[in-house]
Amino acid sequence: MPDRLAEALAELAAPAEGLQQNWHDVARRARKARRRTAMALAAAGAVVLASTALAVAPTLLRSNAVAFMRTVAIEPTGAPPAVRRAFAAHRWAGRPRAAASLATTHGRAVLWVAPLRGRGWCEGLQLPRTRFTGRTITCRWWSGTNGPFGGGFVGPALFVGRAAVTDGRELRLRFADGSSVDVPTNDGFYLYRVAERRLIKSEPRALLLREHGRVIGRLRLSSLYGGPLAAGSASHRPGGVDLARARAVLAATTRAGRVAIFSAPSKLAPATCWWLWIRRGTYDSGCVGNDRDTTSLWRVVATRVRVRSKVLWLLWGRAGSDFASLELRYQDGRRVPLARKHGYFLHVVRGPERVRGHRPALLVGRGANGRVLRRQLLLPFAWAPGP
Amino acid sequence: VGADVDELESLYRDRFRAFAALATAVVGSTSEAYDVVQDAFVTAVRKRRAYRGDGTLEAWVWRIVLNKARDARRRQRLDDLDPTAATNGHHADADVRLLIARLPARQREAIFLRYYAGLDYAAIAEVLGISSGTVGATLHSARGALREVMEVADA
Repeated sequence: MPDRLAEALAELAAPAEGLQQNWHDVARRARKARRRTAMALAAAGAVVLASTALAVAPTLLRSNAVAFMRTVAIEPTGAPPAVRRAFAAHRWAGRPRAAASLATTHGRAVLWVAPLRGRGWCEGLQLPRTRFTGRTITCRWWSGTNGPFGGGFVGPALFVGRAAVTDGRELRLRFADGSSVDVPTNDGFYLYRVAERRLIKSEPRALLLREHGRVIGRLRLSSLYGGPLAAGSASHRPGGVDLARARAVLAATTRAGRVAIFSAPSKLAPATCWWLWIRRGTYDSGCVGNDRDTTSLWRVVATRVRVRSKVLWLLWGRAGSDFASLELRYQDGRRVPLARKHGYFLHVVRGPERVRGHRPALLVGRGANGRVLRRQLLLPFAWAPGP
Repeated sequence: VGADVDELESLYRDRFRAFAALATAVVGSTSEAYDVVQDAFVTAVRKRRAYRGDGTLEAWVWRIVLNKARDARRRQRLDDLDPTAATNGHHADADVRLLIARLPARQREAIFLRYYAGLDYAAIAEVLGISSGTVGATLHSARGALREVMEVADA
């Protein structure tokens, strides 16, 4: 897990591609700003008055919700010493209460909360096998301008936070297919993981706060995989590979050209390198030490990539030798074994498999005894736009 | 003391992409990020005499860009926030971006400055007005929070 986070952070691409600098525009704006200074001052006064009026109105309208979010009604409960110590060390936090919990593979995760001097709350997510410290705790001072949703992490599968679920209100999670599920809350706090069977069918799109059936608040979640396709820009094959010993391990013919996984030993270290080749370019690559090559290696890449105006849906990767079999599961319940060669696999998702409801949604790896070793959701396919 | 317009122009031309990357990450859309950067430099030009020279000019401008981005984000209604709008098609990053978008503001900004803008700890400290040690602690906390959520989401 630490490796995955470090890699993800290191690979965060600058998201401002496409923006062009324009200093003349800065100069023009500066001149315009100077000309408007007097007018802006007058307008600013008007805006301040107007915005004050606008800010006050909703605050008054939502006063019950604001009061709700500023207090914690859950009674103090027993808490492990580490949790008690962490909250006690916080300057403003009250005693901790268990607001919600969730079963995980390693034990229960518990959301601990505490009042914040009548002006908000503090929260900390206690995870199995993880130390709970002062840094785990986040405190939120609440005001009327904060809206009905507060804090916490929101992810494709995991939802943690608080909403102004006062009497008569309910919190629901709506999916792209129009369905929705009830999100259980305790004093507005929620710790909710979407069931895998739901995730593979449709994508969460919004948290809805409803009052007597009417939606009064909405926290929209943009589509993770519905936007532009992966850039698909060509990269380079790993440096230092022994090209004389390179070989195409797996290959497939697609509308965009030949797709192949090449493999070659490294000349720089006892490692094996590989790269994904599409038509005339390398699209992904990597190396792994030979000592890591056999067991518990699990690299799964599901992506949609545009190559010469053709959109390819590709599933490729590598699984260590402790994986005796790989199985591809579809949204419609079909299960198909996935062939490997020297640990690599490559699957091109074609026509009928791209139809919503029939797409590949899950890859399951089993050991020799049939036990499931790893599962990987294929959300870029399951949640892709289209019919 | 005070900044020179030529210096500001030079800084703009050299570092536009980094400024735009940070602004995009904070406000969530490239179109708004462009306005944030432009407006930040308009402010820098108009208030250049207020630069007292007690830090680097670049850090002073970073602070303006960050404040402009914060203002722009604050103007957005909460339910219109689009924490993954900045994915720009790099889907492998989307989960991490989503999680970052939900971090407390200080941690989120430290992550942005470190990983989007590529600033070192000293520069981040100058921009955020905190010590380098606090920058390290903040980034440590942010990474820890991200790691925890990734673990639970995967569990």
